Formats: sequence, C-alpha cells, structure tokens
Amino acid sequence: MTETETATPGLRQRVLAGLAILASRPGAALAFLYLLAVVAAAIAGPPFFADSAEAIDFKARNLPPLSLEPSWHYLLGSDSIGRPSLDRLLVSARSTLLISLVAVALSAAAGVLLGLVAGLRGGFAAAAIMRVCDALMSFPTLLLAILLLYVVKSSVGTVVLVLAVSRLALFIRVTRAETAEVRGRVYVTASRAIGARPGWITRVHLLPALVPTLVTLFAVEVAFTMLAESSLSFIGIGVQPPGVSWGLMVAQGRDYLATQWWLSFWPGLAIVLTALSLVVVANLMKTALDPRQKWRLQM
Amino acid sequence: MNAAAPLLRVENLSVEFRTAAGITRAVRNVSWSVLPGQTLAIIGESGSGKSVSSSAILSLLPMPPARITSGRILFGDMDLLTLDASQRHDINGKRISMIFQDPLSSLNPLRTVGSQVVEAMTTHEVPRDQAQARALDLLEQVGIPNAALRFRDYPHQFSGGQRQRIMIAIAIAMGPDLLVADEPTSALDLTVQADILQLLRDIQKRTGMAIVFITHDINVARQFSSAIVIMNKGAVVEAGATAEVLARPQDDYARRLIGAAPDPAAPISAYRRPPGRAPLCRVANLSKTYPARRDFLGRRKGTDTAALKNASFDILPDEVVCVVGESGSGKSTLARALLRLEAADSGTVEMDGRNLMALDGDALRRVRRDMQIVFQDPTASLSPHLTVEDIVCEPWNVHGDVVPAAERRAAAERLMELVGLRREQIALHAHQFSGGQRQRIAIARALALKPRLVVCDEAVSALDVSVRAQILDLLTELRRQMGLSLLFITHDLGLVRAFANRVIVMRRGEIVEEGDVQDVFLAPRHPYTQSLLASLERLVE
Repeated sequence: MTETETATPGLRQRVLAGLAILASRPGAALAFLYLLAVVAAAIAGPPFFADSAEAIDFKARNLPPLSLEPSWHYLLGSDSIGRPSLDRLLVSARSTLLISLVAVALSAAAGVLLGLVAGLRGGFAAAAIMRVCDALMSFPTLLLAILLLYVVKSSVGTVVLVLAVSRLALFIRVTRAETAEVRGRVYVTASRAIGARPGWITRVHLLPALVPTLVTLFAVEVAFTMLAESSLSFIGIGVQPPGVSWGLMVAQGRDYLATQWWLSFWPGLAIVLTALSLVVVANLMKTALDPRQKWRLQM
Repeated sequence: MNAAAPLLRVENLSVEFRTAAGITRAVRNVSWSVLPGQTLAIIGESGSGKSVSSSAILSLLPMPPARITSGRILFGDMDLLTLDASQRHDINGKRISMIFQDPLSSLNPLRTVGSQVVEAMTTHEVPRDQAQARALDLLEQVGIPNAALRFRDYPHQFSGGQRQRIMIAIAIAMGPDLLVADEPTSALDLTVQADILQLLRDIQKRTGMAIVFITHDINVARQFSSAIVIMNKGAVVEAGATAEVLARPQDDYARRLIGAAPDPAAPISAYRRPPGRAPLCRVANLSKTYPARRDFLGRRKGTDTAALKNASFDILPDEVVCVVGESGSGKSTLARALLRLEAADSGTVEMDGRNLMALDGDALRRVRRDMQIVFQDPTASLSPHLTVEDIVCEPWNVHGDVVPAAERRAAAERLMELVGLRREQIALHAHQFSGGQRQRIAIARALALKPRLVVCDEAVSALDVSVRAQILDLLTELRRQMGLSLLFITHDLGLVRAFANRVIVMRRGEIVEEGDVQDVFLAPRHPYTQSLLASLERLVE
C-alpha cells in the first residue's frame, strides 16, 4: 500500500506518457496501431463478417485486388467461388490470434514455473526438468508438431497444445538461466542477510528481473507460433476446413499462386506484419520496464 | 637533448563526449608537461578526466563519442593530435607506451605471454629471432621466475602481479621515452603494489624513461612521483613539485582531497579492551574448505582450498574490529560464514550466547535482525528494479512486526536523513545516485532493523578517497548514536589506523595476529604484519 501512494503516477499520466513516447517514434506507433487493428478484427470480425466471408457468389469470382465494383468487400480481391478476401481475413484474425496467444501463454506459464523450480531448487528436480528440456529441444519444432499431430486427432485444441509443448523448452531454459544468474547477485544475498524467505526473494527480486526478458520472448514466440501454425495448416495438419486461419488461407491459395497471387499474399502479409509489430512493440516495452533504461524513451 | 626542455607538453586540451544524454565536457583546457626521466603523477577521483587526458596522448579515445575540441599535445616538436596512421605507428609502443589497470583484460587470453612480448617488437620491424631473444631477457628483467620455461604459458596461469609485470615487459620492449601508466597498481595487493612500483623505479633508473602515473592514491603519488597534477571535474586545479603540493596545497579541492587520504603519520586511536566484558559475538574455530573440483568419474582435480582455518575471536559490544588481509586471505569467507550466508564446515558463531550454527528457519531469521552486512559495491547490492523506498523498507516488509506498515514510509524518510540523504530522494531508483550516496542507502538498509553488529565487507574500497572519508565519518557517528559493533573488513591497512579498536590480520585463511590497534601498529609480532606495515610506509626506495 505504501509503495503505490505518491511515488507512482496515476493511470491517466501513464497513458499520456505512453502516447507521448509513441508519438515521437513513428515506427513503433505504426506497429502499435497495426496490432490494435488486428485485435479489433479478432473481436469484431466474426460477428460482422462471418456471413459475407462465406457467401458464395459466382458472378464475383477471381476478382483482382482493388475491385470496388460489386462492393467494397472486394477491395482485396476474391477467390474462385467469389468469397471476398478482405472479409475472410478479418474473420480468421480471431482464430489465428487465439491459437498463438493461448499456445504461448500456456507454454510461458508452465515454462516459467518449471524454470523457477529448476533455477532455485537444483538437485534431482532440476536435473529431470533440464533433461526433458534437452529432449524437447533436440527435435525441430515443426517435426515434433507434425509427429504429435499424426498421433492425436487434429483440432484447434490439439494444435494449441502441440504448439505449446513444442515451445516449452525455450521458456524453461531462459527462465532457469536468468534465475540462476539473478540468484547470485549481491542484492539477493543482501536480502538473504535480512532474513527474507525464498518466496519473497522470488517475488521481489527474481520476477522483476525476469519480466523484461520474458516480455520480449513472449512476443517473439507469438510471432513464431503464428508462423508455425501457418506451416501446419499449410501442410494440411493444422486448422481443418471449414475452420479458418491465416495460415490455412495461405495454404488454400497455394494452387492458384500463378494466376490469383492475392489469395496467399494478403494473409501472408498479415502474418508477417503481426510478427514484425510484436517484436517492435516488445522491444519498446523491454526498455520501458527497465528503470535504468527508461530515460532513453523520454528523449 | 636539453635537460630542461619538456619531453611531452599537453597544451589547453579539451575533450567532449557527445552522447544521447547530452554533451559532457570531460576535459577542460588542461595543460601539463613532463621532463625526460621525470615521474609525473596525475591524481584525481573518478570522473575527474585524468584517464581521458592521457588516453588522448596515444590516440586511444573512442571517437566518436569523444571529440577533441581544442589543444595540442607536443612530443618534441610534433603535435600528436595531427598524426596520420603511419606516423602513429612510429610513436605508439615504440616511443610512448602504456600500461593499464587490469592486466588480465589487456593481455590476450588465447596467446602465450612470450608471443605477446615478441609481437610488441616484430610489429615495429624487429627481426623475429632478435625479438625472441630480447623477449626472454625482458621477462627476466621484470622478474618472472623461470622465464624460459614460462615463455609458452598463457596469461591465466600467472598471478595478478605477474601479469602486470608481463604488461610492463611489453611496454618497455622498444625502449620508449615515455611510459603512461593508468592506475597500474590499483587492482593489486599492497605488497605486490610495492614490488611493481619498485620494478618501475628500477627500469626508470636504468633506461631514463619518463613516467606519467595516473592514480587515485595519494600515498602512492607521494612516494613515487617528483611532480604532481591534481585534477577535478575535467580541469587541473593544482600542479607542481610533489612534496611542495602535498605539504601546502593552495586549492580548496586539493586541500580536501589530500586531507581525506589516510595519513601514515596520523595518530593511532588508543584503545584498551576492557577486561571481563561479555562478548556480543564470539567466533570459535570457524573453518571452511572449498573442495577440489571433480571430473566426470568423480576423481578429484587439484587440491582442496582451505579458505578459513580455525578462526576464533570475540567482538565486544560497541567495538570496531577490523579484519585486514590481502586478496585470498579468507576475510570475505569469514564474513559470509559468520552471517551464515555460506555454510561453514565446522566451528561456532555465538550471538549473545546463542549458537547460530544450531539455528534454523524462523529462529535464524530472528537472529539475523541483530546482524547486518554492507557490501563492497553498492551498485551491485541494491536492486535496480526497486525504488529507494522499497529498498530501505525491505527489512521491515520481511520482518513485518518491527514497524507497522502505515509508518514505514515515514520511518524510511527518517533513516534517509540519518545517513545524510534527503527525504524526497526516497522515490528515486538506485542508479540515480552517486557511488557514495548508494553506499549510504545500503547503510540505511542495514540499520533499519536496529542491528547490534554490522559487518562491512570492504564497504568503502570501491569509493573515491573523499567519499570514503565521509562514509567512515558517517559510520563512526552512527556507531556513537546507536551503540553498534562493527566488523570492518578491508585490505587497506592505512584506513584502519584511526578507525579501529581491534585489528585482526589474516593470511591464507588463518588469523596471524590479533590485538588492540596501537599494539598491532606499533609493535607487530608476526613477520607478515611487519612486512605489511613496512610496505605501507615505504612503497619504493
């Protein structure tokens, strides 16, 4: 209670300061706006565009981008049965985002927990966790996912789980390494000399030191998972039709690359831009979360 | 050559650093000169610009961000600031060379020391076979035992003092006219420091080279140099003959700096341990051995290291006990074992008659309130993620029953004032303070639980001389107010003189001498203590 009273600025000032930081950084501001747009599409896309995205219209088949003729829905073109690409893109934003966010969130939660145990405890538990980690890491992510998806039936739930397991090792490794490093710092020894319990040390000293690294890792992993999900869908074992995802859209456009390039291009671009924006914003967050680096943002 | 003509003249040198945070004028209109064969000491605290001005001589400044905005550096009649790369090659390492503070990072760890000495010459077109022969000769000259055998050893196989000797061999390989030495002995133990200074003095006598000696240690400057330049905040505040300047400094800052240095002639505090008082803390037969590393099959590699052997001593209430020793003497292990930050192998530590080694869990946490520690490096010992308020309140947040939650902020503010900081500063982070202020914060944290014993592990060694004096004054004052006992661990014998009540001298994990301060200083019994005191008083002949 004491620490929040006067020293920390209110939410309003924080938001204003954040906007000022974005205003002086056009690149980061663009990335931020793009992510906002993706989130908006994930929320508002399915209720508003689900019907138009699935509407088959043979009069409007194979329209190239910038076709405003039947209606603005065809701005990004349409496929061979006349479904507008723009609407399909907006609708599938939700599943794409959810799959990668949930997968990485699961992976991070389990990974940080196991990493903390391995870093703080040592002994048999740590050895066991790290050997499992080694086993997971010795498999290429996609190969592991493909193997697992051949064993279990492919559905949105299993795709999420498989992606989460395949990226688990990275979170464990990073957390453990960082924990072991921070644990040896003099200010942690000072805390032990005061008589602090391990729980206190973890909460007050370890986690704040971990957060900037984890934020960056989280963003990079969401981007990576998004691409991995696309690859799985592309080779046909990820999200199954009639489900939709950007990766699946890229896959479905594969046969038409020579004639209707826009079918794969727009979802591909959306994936790349999302990944890029996440990394840019995460980088900014990392600086903002470090009290020693924060001043750089105020210039 | 005319003996009165200076060998090197720095005239009106100004250097700026342009960084994102703004322009820092690191050196402002600095002028000094050094005569052939002379030793000039440049003295200053961290940030005074003493290293920047001398790096400019060898063109070692990182440019950008550094920019030389005015001035000349005349070597004979050549302006060193206008040289091109090939002219530079004829000067650096050949006519002017340099040695640095940390010999481990200035030697290439992947190459043998012999090849590095040879390279210093072959790069200046000395034929390889001649260079080989001379390199061996040089290593012998700088006092590397069995030089021929050790020629093919790597830097990590030598001690700190030996590495500095190897650096010196490289620096004098081409017989330079001028040696720039940037804090060459600051990282070394007292006795090793004396050996290195003696070596430099001997080489100088033989070859007649001039030395520019950059240091923060006034005692070293006093004994080693004939001329002195004192710098503060990028400007020269006083210059002249060493004896003259140190005896009668004119400038205000110079006077404070010289006054803050431990004076070898200062009176020793007189203390007689009162007989029959019950000790606050009793250490008995404390031992700690670091086992040898084992290889894959569990076979021992090397031997066990006994860091602490049967250490026994008492600390009375209200007493300042100083533990003195060189690096590796086990003094830090003693501090950590005593506080149970590290498990000792055997022995006992009694606080008020309770054996710490037998306690666990909550009982141990309770005793920890009575004994706190201040570490050497305040930058490392304060969390960068917390505000000063959170740092100072941490002891109270951990031991919830000491100060009620609602009063912690006010109590923390009072503590800030007690250690000489301002109340408002409590909302800042540690990196926004200077080194000395950070150490004050660390002291405030240590005092929060009203301990009865504070262990200071080299608590002032990383600080500048004038700041060091302030922190020692603060500790003395706090001790008077709160009735603390201090266990003060240091490698600096000069510091102890006016500060300690009792002195414990350690060497290789053993206590070799213990006694009241004036007895240890005036009548040392152990030969090691005698040699330590001798090197303090007489670094070079």
